[in-house]
Amino acid sequence: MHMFRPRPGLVLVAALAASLASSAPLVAQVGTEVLAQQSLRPYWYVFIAYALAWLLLLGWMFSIGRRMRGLEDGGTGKRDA
Amino acid sequence: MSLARIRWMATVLGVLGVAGVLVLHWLVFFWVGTERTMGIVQRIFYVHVPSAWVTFLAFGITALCGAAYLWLRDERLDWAAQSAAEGGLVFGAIMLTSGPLWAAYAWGTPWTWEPRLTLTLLMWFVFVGYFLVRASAEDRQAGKRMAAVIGVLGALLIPLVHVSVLWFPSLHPQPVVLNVEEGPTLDGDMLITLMIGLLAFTLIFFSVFCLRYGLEHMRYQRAIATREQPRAT
Amino acid sequence: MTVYLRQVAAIVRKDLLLEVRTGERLAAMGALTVLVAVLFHFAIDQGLVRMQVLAAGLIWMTILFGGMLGMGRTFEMEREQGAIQGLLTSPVPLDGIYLAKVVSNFVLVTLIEVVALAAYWLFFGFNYGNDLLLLAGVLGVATLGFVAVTTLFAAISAQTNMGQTLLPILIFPLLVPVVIFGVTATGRIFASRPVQEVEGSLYLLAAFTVVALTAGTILFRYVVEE
Repeated sequence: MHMFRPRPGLVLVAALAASLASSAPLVAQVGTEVLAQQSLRPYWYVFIAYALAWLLLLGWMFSIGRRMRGLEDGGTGKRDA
Repeated sequence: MSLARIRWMATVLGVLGVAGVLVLHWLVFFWVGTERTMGIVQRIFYVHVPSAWVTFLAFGITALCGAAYLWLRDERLDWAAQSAAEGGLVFGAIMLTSGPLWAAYAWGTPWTWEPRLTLTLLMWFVFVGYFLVRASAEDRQAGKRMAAVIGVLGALLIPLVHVSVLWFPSLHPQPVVLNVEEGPTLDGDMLITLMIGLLAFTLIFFSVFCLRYGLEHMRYQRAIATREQPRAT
Repeated sequence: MTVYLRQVAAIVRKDLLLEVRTGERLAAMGALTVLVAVLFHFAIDQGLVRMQVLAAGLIWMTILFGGMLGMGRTFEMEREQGAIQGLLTSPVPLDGIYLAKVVSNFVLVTLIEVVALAAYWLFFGFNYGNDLLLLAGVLGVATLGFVAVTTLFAAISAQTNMGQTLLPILIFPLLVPVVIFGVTATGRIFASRPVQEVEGSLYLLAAFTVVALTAGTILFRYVVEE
């Protein structure tokens, strides 16, 4: 039985990972500019909040992808975790 | 709807959503003005509020599809309710992690009993119960019905829970620091950024929702293919 | 209608009779109630906090946990004996079964409330205020709402392999209004505040109870249907 690979998931994963990776140097860059005047702490809070958001989303998509692959590879895929 | 069609929708919504997220990132990190009193940390707002909105949306979809499932007994409604509930769990977690991070810096305390934050926490636990019941039900069909009942009852009682937590601070005075009226009054650029955030999150939610729905669809097809007929309702 | 009421009454009578004969649930609930009060005595440093200040909160927590312990077994005995099949296939409508279970649970929880009030009065000399009638009214309305939600979820948790472990996760998020307004109202009654300060909470408790009872009556059939 031929089933599709969850490509839309991969597209999303790749794009979100890219956006996550791109935001890291941005935050750091903005951070260093103002390092003279103020603490970096709020930037870290913002960065962690955004990173956690995307990590949670990616985790969700990975888990869906894994379950789909499990189904394709002949698992029963009966129960969710 | 065929599996290919669902997948196509997931892709289109996903591409749009990711584009929205990229724009949102650019706006948040380079364009939008810094809020005067709370400073940089207020930028969490643009991920916090959209995730809260999606959590409520997901809760609504779960309740509506659950009620419709109890009535019509169409498996697809159960797939949709379940997919939305899973989204609610994920976006609720985003809301519940970004909120305390913001609060920890802006107000010096990670958790405030701010009514909407409290409500989301309680709603999140209703979602947790939804999945625990599904997973531990001795009979799968009963599990679906009971999960739907939880969704519906949750939606009926949540407004009352909301009223309770809203009025709770008025019964017990709170420090003024924690008094969060509607967030800061929004400037134009902040409003635009927020709107983009809401749009992007909603698109992402529906994209992954379709993906998750497709998974249930695959399970169903697989069950038919392996001649393990899903019990008729 | 009268047939319906008689059927409901018959189940209530059967449940209460069973309870009187075995005393199973009532004994466990009563013991828990008293023991929780004993533990609170040791858990709270009475040199730092006046117990009376916490009275309403302590009593409500005791009622919640004691009530949950007993109500979790609402359908347990019948399931173990297989009697649930007989009950479900009997001519009594499913919502009638739910209402009957709500009534018998209500009686049970009311009894442990009396135990709790007596125990706390005995152990800590709590002052319950002047308006005992209003107190009974608030407790009655709040208990009905509590029982309406918990009975429905007891039917749900009985059909899972997690059993009663699941019950608190399911009911506590939804019982927040009962706790908030129940504690507020009883706390003010204990402090002998004027009725006007209690009314608002009482109306909201009543609204919660009406919604919970209506929803439970409608939704119960989907939980137990075969």
